[in-house]
Amino acid sequence: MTTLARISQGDRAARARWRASGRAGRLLRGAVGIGILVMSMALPGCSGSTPTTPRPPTTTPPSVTFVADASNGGIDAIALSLTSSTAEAFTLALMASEVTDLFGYGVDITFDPAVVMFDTATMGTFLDGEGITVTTQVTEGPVGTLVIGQSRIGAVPGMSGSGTLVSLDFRSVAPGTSTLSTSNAGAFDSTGAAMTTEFFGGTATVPSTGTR
Amino acid sequence: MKRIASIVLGAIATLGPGGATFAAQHEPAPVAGQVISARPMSGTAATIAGGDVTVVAWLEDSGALHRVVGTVGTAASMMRLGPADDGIDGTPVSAVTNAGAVWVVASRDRGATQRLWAHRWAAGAWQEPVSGPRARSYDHHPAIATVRGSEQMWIAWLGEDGVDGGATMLYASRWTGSRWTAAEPLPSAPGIPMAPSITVDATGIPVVAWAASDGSDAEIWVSARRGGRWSTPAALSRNQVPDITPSISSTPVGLLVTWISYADNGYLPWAATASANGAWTSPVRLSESPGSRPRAAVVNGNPAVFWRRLEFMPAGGTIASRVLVDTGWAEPVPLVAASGSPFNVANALDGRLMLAFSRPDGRLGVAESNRVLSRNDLDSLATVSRALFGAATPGGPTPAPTVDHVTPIVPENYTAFGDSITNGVVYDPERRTSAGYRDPLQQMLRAFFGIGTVFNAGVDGESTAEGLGRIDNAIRAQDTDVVLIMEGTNDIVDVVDVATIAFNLRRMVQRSYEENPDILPYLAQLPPRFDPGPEGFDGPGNGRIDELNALMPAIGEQEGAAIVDMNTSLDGNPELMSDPLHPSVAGYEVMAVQWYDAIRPAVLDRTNRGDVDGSGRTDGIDLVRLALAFGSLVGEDRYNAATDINGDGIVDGFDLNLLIEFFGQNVPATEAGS
Repeated sequence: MTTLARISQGDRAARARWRASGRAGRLLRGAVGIGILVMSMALPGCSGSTPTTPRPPTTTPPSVTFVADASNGGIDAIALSLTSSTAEAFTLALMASEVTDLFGYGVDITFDPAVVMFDTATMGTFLDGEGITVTTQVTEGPVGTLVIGQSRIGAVPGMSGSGTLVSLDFRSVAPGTSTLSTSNAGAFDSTGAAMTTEFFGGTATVPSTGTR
Repeated sequence: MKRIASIVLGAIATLGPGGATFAAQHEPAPVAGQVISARPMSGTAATIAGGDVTVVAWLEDSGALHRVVGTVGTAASMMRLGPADDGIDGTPVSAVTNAGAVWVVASRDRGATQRLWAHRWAAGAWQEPVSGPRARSYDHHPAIATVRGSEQMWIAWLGEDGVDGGATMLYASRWTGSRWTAAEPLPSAPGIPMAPSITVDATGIPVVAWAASDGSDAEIWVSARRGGRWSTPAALSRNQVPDITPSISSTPVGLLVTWISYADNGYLPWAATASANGAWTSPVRLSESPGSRPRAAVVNGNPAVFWRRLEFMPAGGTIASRVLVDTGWAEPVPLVAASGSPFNVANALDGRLMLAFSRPDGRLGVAESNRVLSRNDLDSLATVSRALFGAATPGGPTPAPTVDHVTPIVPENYTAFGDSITNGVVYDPERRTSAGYRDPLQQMLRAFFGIGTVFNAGVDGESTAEGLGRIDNAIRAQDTDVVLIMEGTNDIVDVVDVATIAFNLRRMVQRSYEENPDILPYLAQLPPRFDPGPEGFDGPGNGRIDELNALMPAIGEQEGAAIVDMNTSLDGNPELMSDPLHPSVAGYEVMAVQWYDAIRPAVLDRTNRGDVDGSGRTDGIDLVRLALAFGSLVGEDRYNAATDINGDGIVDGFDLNLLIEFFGQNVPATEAGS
């Protein structure tokens, strides 16, 4: 409990410095990244732990489409999947699928900033089970590369099963296609051992009427 | 009967077979209804022949205005001296005339002008003050000496035009008993003159000693007025290091000049004497230990020098003395009782001695002899004083139990080094010593790094020459990782030349590295001086402060010190100042932010910036590694030293915050895994 309090205090201080340094504006614009550190709780806007199957756009105007490299993630996988889409914006969920004792992971997701741009990230609920503190970091740097890290904290077990790790909101920039590739990826169990988990990205297509 | 009626701190009894008594130490007594500060910035004292009256005058550090207060020891006589108008006084000096009058002289800064004034105690009362001689728009830093056997007095001072105007020159004038003679410029010595000292020899010839800097170093010069003309200045020092703060006195065996000269371990006291024919002897080094503020005097008819022997906190120094007997200087005598700085040493006409000094608690102390002192008296004074003030408790405090200590990666010990600004002096509205910038800085350091203690090594009234003599001790005493140097304001006030101040600051940085090669030194550009009235931040001194501040970036680059701007954020903001020299509480908080912003990048450079696995980038893998070790202590299985980013022996939220600070950023290979 003491440790948690120190974390919160430090986090508030960091946020205060962030605001003081003028970076808060960039944070609000959502182009840089976020730092989230919460106890286990439901966050507004978070979907549940069930993977969502992407559906082809059928509405007018046409929405951004996303073709996942592994639509269901397979077994022991972490993969991107589309959860919502309009012509101007879309949301991808980074989903864990049938993993065992997942303690934390790190992954980069690269995309074409001439086609889509990263907006915001929202923490999923999969890792924060059993009241365990989770730290989530998502930042864009350099432009076109999301650096993502998320982990449970301390001497606690990992989580097993499937669910949303983090939701990533993108906006359309120009018509075209952008691959969203994973790299520098690794998942670890609660002993610190590297897992065999595979990471999958996909391809997003912005229709001609979807630019802003 | 002496008319000193002030608080007696401790009467010193008869001192051994000689029977000499060095009388009580005392301080000016506060009087109800009068604005009298018991915390003088500097002072002077003089004793009238026969011991009837002792005059004490001091510069009252009262916040917005610094004014001279004088007393003869009785409540009724305690009053502000000088003209009845507003302004900022400088340090007073005093001297006794043959007829038993005591003169107190100081300068008053009224913004557009700075004039000398003189105030005389005579016939049992303070007489009307008189204006001093005039030479330039800004006349300041007077020195006075009376002419034996007459009511005449000589005065020497610095004059310049405009705010920090160029071509500062030395001037002298004589008080005939009823008026001042026209100001006489002294012949120029190479460089800019600094505060002079003057004496009148046994034949009535005035002799002035001063330091002058040519921009690279300063030397000591003397000039005598013979045949109605001032002689060509003669150099008493010729070397490549600063020689500053001379004090000259006429003794029964000739003239005596003492000053301090830089050596490898700080400024050391030196002295030179001249016989009646005017030939100067080779200078003699009086101590191998750093000292400051030397004062020339006479003890039992022999030349004597009193100086502040620099020691470490909290005392800041003790007064030491050496007496020249025949042709040899006697061994130094530490005057522990008079711990602090000697403001002046005055000989009454009968040879008795009066010593005004700053006490360790910052108050003005005065010690006086009740008869002519001998060297044995000095020995006895030292002995008795130790008993009076008490020796250290045998054994000292019980040592803390020994515990295992992890050496943090980020700095743990910060030494805040400097003068009263570092010490946190503030007026709100009364003078007090606050936490200054130190506590706010410590809070910021601990909030981000989880580690950091800021130790106070600020000494009120200290000059850079004095600070240079103790900085190594200060660094060593606290096992210093980071030293924050901010000093020079008192040098500016005392018109020490900018080159000498810069020299001293440069050596402070060098000595910091000599003491700890891994130290992080920070050097602050001085805050502005703020004067009440229309001049505000454009008053005297600010031009020289700007000149000094402009030299600091080069010092920092050449010596490896980070320069911290303490001037810009305060300049033009009166609410951030509590008096002409000291910031307000809000001002100190601004200073703390300035320090913190400068410190943080260098401290972060000492860490692996969260690149736990040494991949060259801080990313999600590093985050997981840290999370796995989170909450572990050094020695435990889960502990991973690379994740203990601040190196304090525990992986906690501070480490996580440090990692987050650099999340997604590349880390130079030389820093990874450090």
